[in-house]
Amino acid sequence: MSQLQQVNHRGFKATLRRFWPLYAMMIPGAIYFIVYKYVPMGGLVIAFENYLPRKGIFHSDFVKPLYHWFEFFFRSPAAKQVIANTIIISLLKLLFCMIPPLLFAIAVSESRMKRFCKFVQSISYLPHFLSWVIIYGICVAMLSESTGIVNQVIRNLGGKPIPFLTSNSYFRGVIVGTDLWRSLGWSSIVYFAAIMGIDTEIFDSATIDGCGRLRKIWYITLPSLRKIFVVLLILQVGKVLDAGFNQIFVFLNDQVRPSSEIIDTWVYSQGLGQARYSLATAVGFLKSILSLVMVVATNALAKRWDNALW
Amino acid sequence: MVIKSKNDTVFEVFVFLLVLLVGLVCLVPVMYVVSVSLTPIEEKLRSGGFLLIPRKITFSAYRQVLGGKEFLPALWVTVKVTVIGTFLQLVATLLFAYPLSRTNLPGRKLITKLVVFTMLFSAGMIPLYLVVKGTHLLNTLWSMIIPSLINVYNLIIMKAFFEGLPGELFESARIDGAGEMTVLLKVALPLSMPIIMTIGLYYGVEQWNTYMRAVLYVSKDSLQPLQVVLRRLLAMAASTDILEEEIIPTETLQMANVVLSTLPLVCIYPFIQKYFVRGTLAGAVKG
Amino acid sequence: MRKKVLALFATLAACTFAFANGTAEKNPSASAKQRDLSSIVIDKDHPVELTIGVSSKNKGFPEKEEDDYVYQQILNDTGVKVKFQVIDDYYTALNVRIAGGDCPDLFQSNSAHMRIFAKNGDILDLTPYRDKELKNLMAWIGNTDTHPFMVGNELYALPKAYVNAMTYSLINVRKDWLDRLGLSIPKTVDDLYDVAYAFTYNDPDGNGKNDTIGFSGKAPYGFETIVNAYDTALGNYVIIRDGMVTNTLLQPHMKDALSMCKKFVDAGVIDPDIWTVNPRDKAIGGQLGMLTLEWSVMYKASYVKQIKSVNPNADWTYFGPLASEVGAQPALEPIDVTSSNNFLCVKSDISPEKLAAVFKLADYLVTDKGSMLVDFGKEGVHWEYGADGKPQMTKKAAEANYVATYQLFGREDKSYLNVKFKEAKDQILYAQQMPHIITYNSLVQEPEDFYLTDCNNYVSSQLIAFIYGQRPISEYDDFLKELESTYGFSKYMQACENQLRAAGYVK
Repeated sequence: MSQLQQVNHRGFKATLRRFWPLYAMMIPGAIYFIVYKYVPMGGLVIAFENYLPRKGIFHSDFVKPLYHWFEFFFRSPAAKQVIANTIIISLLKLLFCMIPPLLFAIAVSESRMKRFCKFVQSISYLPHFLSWVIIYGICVAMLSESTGIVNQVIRNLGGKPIPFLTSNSYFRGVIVGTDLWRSLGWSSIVYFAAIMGIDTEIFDSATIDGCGRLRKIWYITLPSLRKIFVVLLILQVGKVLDAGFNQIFVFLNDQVRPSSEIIDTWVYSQGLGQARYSLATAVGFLKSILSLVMVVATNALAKRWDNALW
Repeated sequence: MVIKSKNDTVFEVFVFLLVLLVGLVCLVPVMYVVSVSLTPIEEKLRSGGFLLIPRKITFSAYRQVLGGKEFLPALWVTVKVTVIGTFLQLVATLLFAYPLSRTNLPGRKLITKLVVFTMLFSAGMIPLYLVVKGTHLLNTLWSMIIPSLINVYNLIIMKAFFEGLPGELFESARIDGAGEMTVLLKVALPLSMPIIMTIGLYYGVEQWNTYMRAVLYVSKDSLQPLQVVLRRLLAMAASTDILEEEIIPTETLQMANVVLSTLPLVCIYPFIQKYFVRGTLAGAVKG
Repeated sequence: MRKKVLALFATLAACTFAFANGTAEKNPSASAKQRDLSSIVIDKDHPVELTIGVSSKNKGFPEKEEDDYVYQQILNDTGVKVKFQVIDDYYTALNVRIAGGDCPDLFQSNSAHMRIFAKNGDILDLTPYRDKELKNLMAWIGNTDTHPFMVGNELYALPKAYVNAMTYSLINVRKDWLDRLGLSIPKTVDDLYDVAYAFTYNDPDGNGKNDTIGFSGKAPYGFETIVNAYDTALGNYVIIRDGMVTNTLLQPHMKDALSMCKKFVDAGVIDPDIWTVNPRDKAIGGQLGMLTLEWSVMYKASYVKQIKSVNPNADWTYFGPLASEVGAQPALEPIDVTSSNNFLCVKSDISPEKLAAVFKLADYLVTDKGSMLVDFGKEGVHWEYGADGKPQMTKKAAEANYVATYQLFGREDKSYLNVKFKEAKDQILYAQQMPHIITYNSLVQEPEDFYLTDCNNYVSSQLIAFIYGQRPISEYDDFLKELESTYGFSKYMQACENQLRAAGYVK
């Protein structure tokens, strides 16, 4: 607000004269955001309509009452479970998938075995290139109850095989674990890049001052990663109601549905694929509003450490 | 160079074990993918499923994928989309992130909010399709690039990075009379090669794997990218009918697809990795 | 600046409307008005192109039209250019194209989606053409039930022949394992249990290791084979018994059926991965002794070769259906006679010329010449008449695999399969004579406030809980009460009854 007043005070012309090159740089992006993001957003009106593709977005009839599709979602006997599953899986992912990439990046950059680390680093990106369908295939080969290699080992050691893929108590663990596995190396690149960007002189002077490795990590590396970590955390919080449709859609089976059906897979199954656009848009809209609240709240919290998005 | 203390050795061993663990965990499943793609199905069935090192090798799945007339044109489409797309995306993101990172730019907070807003709110596939159609991109290469020009996630990361650069550098450059564009190109860019490479890699891989945009916006067969063509081959393999000389099961074919489409990315990576060591290298030399 | 902002927003709003209006249906009447097509001439010299949206083409489909024998032949004989448009992620992308006004002239659908398309006005009501233009097609499909192609009394799709004969399932068993253990082919579920038990614990492969599994079935309803012996099925299936509409969940022997499933689970003789892994690999790999599976992936020549090369001793034979102690009519697998898939719908704003072309194509493909062409390929090259006057495939038949893409109106499955897969003709015949549990779910439009998907998911999860002992089977009646109190199941069943009556399935 204060900035806008400032602008008013100084006058647009002066501001423009001073900053026009910066504004000019943003023109391509601005056009993109307006045309391909904001214009389609008008389609959100679908959430309040009985949308028929052939009638078009602005010619379909409004539903009565206007909140019909929202009500449809909340009145579903499965809604409570589905919302709970989504939030639990998201929080588990937030809890277990945010920190390891950071640690891995630090470990790789700190280790003296440069070649070995470089090699492992390149390998660690590979899982990201595999689609969830393939990863599920690998999971079956490793974790299935009768032929999975893990259960064969367990059986050979005299244990009882564990139904990883069909038991409600293990399945969320498998979801989070495979997500971590797929994203670990890939997400660590950002942190790695950040570490590479640290001014080496700071390290050198710290070494001269007799700082050990751990102290250097604690006092130099970690603080310089804080900003990027918080920014990523805020963005991740914005996805808390997603929980990873693509992954769960592939992994889901009837046996684990009670613990792992999430909002997005529910919407998908309700809409016979994508035909129930209004319901899908309404639920999406609802998710967006909640995400907005979460992001604004986390951002406000992050401002205390001066790391906010805006 | 550096005095080795006991603490140091413990740390080194710990790091080694951690990195080794990550390496193994990532390598084993990937080996499985490769070996399934190479193993004759009879061999795989006999062994009961999990194999890491193929005992017998067949390239029939690869032959089927590479032998198809569709493969090379599709690869060419993907290469074009990836090269042009990544370049444009990177430039657009850079040009948008840099001004946003300048603390004295009026309106930057508002613009950031508006941008983050687009990440949270979207009306789904159909409205975007209508816009893509309205801007006459359907059935062009651009339909796979322009509708996803800037990824807000990447934009925010880049912005955060620019914000982390020491502000004095910019001030001194400007005092020397450099224009904004010059400052960006001569000061900001060289200092942020690691992050530019990172974001470039993120964009590049996303473009390389283009699937859904092609499915929605492209109906011409000649313009289909690799991922679409590979999946079609898979769907066709499921329609295997009579008198086939050999049955190549979908799983083998699927794994061969993964290997073939991932290989180029793996080959390119070392060139990008070069940019990740500069800072540390300099530090090591000085130290 | 302020003006600019205003101008920007004005443009924005204009853009939104421009894009949205671009697709608004100018002429939304998909009404059943008959169009006069008699004056339209279509032939080789006046060709009409039809685009057909399909989810996939068959293997070996030629890239260029010049190389596509079937395309040339159809063009030559009818003047219709058939252009297939592969749509990946089929229904998602198809719906988007419909919304954008870019959908193909004809597109594949299944019954459930067809009913939505019809409700939304996306597809043409073909009822007015049923008795004249579509006369030959209707005659050709013979006694095939037309309900899968109808919404209420209206015909909304081009019917496809012999859909109801399309179930290929058999229960398959390792004959060599039976012989080694001195067992005979099961006739009842109790026999199935005994054999499965012996296959699991008596080392049927004689390798001295406890590494075999008795029985598995098709995912996701692996227990179906067992349950079917009790004249019921595993899930919410609408059936007709004694002239009354009822549901498999309400069948009198459901509890016995679930107890039998539980017996298999408790004894550890059924595949633990039944919900997640396709059992075929295990069967071929020699870990599994019995499974319910289609003949087409067991007994086609190429698959027999594969099975033999993995294990030369493996000798598979087949049986089914199973009887049970309650004396119900034996059956295998539920099959929905009100549902079909991969048949063609016509887009509602098709031009008269194209519509005439559609009818011409349909007329051609149901002639002997046309159907032989899309079944077997080119006469004298891919097939020829044998001594018995019946078609026989030649050595080059594999090149004609792709022609099946052109089987737009189905085929006469029985004779087709016998020509193409001579080696499996006993299995084909056996599968075709297999009795099934006939269901009618697809026909029923659930009441507005009934959450069908949720209900089905709940049913699945509870049936699983009963089978795996997570919930005692004695609570089955409580489960039915929950269905009523939470979902209003009786309202659904009432709708089923009304709609099945309206369709003439019950009086």
